Amino acid sequence: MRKTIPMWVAIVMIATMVLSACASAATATVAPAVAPTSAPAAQHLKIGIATDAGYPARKIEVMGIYDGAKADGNEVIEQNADNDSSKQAQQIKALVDQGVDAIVVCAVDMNAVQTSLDYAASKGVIVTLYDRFVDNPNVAFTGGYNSYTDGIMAGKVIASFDDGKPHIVFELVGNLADTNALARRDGFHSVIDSHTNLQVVQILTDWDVNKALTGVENALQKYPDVWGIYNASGHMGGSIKTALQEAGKLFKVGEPGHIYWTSIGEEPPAPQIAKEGYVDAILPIPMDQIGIAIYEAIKTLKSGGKLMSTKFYAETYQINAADIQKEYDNIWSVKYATIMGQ
Amino acid sequence: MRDSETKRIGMDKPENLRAYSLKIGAQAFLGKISSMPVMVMLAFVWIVFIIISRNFFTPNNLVTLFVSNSFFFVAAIGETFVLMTGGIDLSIAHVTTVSSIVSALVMIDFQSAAVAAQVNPGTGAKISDPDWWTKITSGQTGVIQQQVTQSMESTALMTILIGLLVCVAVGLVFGLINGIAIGRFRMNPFIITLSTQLIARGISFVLSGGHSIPGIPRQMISLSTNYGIPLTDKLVLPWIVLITILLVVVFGIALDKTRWGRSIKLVGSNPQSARYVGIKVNNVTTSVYVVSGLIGGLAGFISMTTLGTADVKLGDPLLLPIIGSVVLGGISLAGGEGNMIKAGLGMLLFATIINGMTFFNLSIAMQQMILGSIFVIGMAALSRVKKRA
Repeated sequence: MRKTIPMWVAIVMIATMVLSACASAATATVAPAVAPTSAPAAQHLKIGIATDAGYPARKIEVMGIYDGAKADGNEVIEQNADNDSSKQAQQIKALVDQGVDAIVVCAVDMNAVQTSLDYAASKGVIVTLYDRFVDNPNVAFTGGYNSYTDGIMAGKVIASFDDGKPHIVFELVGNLADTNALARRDGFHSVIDSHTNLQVVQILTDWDVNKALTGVENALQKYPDVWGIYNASGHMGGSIKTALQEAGKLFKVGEPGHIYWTSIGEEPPAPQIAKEGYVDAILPIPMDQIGIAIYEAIKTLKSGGKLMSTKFYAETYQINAADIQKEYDNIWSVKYATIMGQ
Repeated sequence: MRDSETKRIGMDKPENLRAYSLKIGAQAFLGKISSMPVMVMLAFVWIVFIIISRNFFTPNNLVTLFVSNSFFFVAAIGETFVLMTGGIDLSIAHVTTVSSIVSALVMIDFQSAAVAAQVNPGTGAKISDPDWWTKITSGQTGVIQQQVTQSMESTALMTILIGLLVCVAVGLVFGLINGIAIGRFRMNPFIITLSTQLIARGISFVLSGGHSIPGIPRQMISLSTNYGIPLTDKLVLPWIVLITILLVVVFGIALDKTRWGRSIKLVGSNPQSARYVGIKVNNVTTSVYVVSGLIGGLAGFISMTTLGTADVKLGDPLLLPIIGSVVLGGISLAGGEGNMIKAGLGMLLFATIINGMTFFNLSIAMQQMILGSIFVIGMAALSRVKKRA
C-alpha cells in the first residue's frame, strides 16, 4: 500500500488539475472589460484563438475579442502553441474540429501555418489573423500594425541625431521567420541606409531576451564606441540596459556618453526604462484596438456582410524622452498591467 | 484417477471448462496488460478525453492526431533502436530538421530549374521567391500561366522523389558520423550526438537563414491532406498516416523478429555476453545510429508533408517528447528492454495527451503540469512493474 501512495498522490494531483482547468475553461471567456463593443449578435458565435506564445502583448491584442464576445454572449476558446509551429498546426485543426465559426491566428511561422489555414477554410471556418500578416488567399481579415512604417519611424528617430560623423548603430533584429521582424528591419534600413556614415551592426535575437543580452554584450566587446541602438521590440529593453550597465555605458538622455536609443512597441520593460530617462523615443502601438477590429470583422463576415478593408493597422505613435512622464499612464502596458499579470 | 479428479473439480462439464478457459485467458491478458502500464494509461486517457469532450473521438480529430504527429512517430522509431542498445541519440530531432531544410532547398532548386527550362529559360527565379510567379510568367497571363502550371505538375513527382532521396541521404550522413564515432571509436553517445545535434542545428540555420522554407510541391502536402483512402465523403485517411504505420510495423518486425533485432537487445542488456556469443557489438552499435539517422531523414520528409514547409525550428521542441514518450512506453534508458509495440504505445500516449488537451482550453502552463504528472505516474507504474518482474 505504501508503495502505491506516490502514484495515488499523482493521480489526485492530475484529477485536481483537470477539474480546476475545466472550471477555469468554463470561465475563460470572461476577460477584464475595456468597453462593450456592440449590440448583441443575432447568432451565437464560437471563436477560436490560436496564439503563438504567452507574450503579454498577445493578451492585449485579443482583449477586444473577449470583451466583444462577452457582451454578445459568444464563446471564445484560446490555444497557445508555445512557439511550436507543429503544435500550432494541430491546435488550429483541433479548434476547427470543435466547430468554431472563426479562427484568429497569430502564426508561429508564416509558412508552417499555411496548411492549417487551408484546412480551416476548407471546413467553412472564417480565417482571420492577428499581429502577424501571412500571405494566404483564405485569410479574410488581419488585424495588426504596419511594421514597415514602424521601422521607418525608428530609422527616422536614429537619423535625427546623425551629425554626419562615422558611428556604430546596433540593430536588434527579431525572429527571421516573423513577418513583423522582417518588415521592421526593412523599414529601418529604408531610412538608415542612406546615412552612409552610420554603420549598422545587426544582432539576431529571435525575440529572445537572453539572446538579446548575449548579442549586445558580444557586440559591445567589438564595438565599445557604439553611438545608437535600435531595438525592434520593447520587451528586449531590459537586455540592452543590462548590457550597457555592465559595460559602464548606461547614461540618461542629455548626459555625456549617452547612447541614442529607440524601440518599437511598449511591452515591458520599455516604458519603465524610458521613464527612467535612458531612451530617446519609444514607439508605442495601440494593441488594444486590434481585437476590437477583428471581432467586428468576424461578426460582419458571419452575418454575410462585406468588409471595407481586409486589413486593420493600429497606428503607431511616438513618445519622446521629454514627454514620457506625461504620457506614461496612457501607455497600454502600464494601463493594462493587471491584465498582463505585471 | 485422472478422470475422477477431473470430475471432482467439475471440469468434466463443458460449461465449467469454458468458464475456466475464459478465466485463464483473462488472467493471462491482465498479466500482459499489467506488464505494460502504458497501455492502461493510454486506455485511461482515451476514456477520460472521450467522456469530457465529445469532439475528441471524432474521425476528423483522430486523423488530425495521426497526421500531425506522424513525423514525431517516425523519429521516435529511430530513437527506440538507439535506446535499445543502451545509447542515446540527441541529434535525431535536428537531423530531422536539417534533412528537411536541405531537401526543401534542393527540391526548390530542381523544380525551379526544371520549370524554367520548359517555360521561360534564364529567369533564374526560385519558386520560394515571393515574386517567382511574376518572373516565370514574365507578367503575362493566359497560355504561359497554363504552361507553368502544367510544368509544375509534370515535374512534381521527380521533385518529390529527389526530396525523399536527399532527406534519406542527409540522415544517413549524420547517422554514419554518429555510428562510426560511437560504434567504432567508442566515443560517448551523449557527447557525440549532442555535438552532431549542434552541427545539424547550425547547418539548418545557415542554409535557411533562420526562417522556414516555402515552395515545396503542393502534391507533397497532399500526401497528408487529400491523397489517401476515403473514409467518408469529406474525410480521407492520408497516405502519410499509412506510411507511418507501415514504418512502425516494418521496424517493429526488424527489432523483434530478426537476428539483428535480437542482437540489438542483447547488446543493450549485456554487451559482454553479446561478444561471447559472437555478436559484433561495434557493428551492431554503429548500425543502430545509422538507422536512427536514416529514420530521422524520413521523419524530415514527413514533416514537410504535414507542415507544408521545412521548418527550421522543428527540432527544438521535438527531442524531449521523442525520448520521453519512448521511455514512457517501456524502453529502458539502460538498454535491452522493450519492443516497438511498447514504444508505439508511448508515442501514442504522448500524442493523445497533447491532442486531447487542445480541447479543454487549458493554459500552456496547465498543459505542461498535466503532461509532467502523467509522466511521473507512468514512470512510477513502470518501475513497479519492473520491481515485480
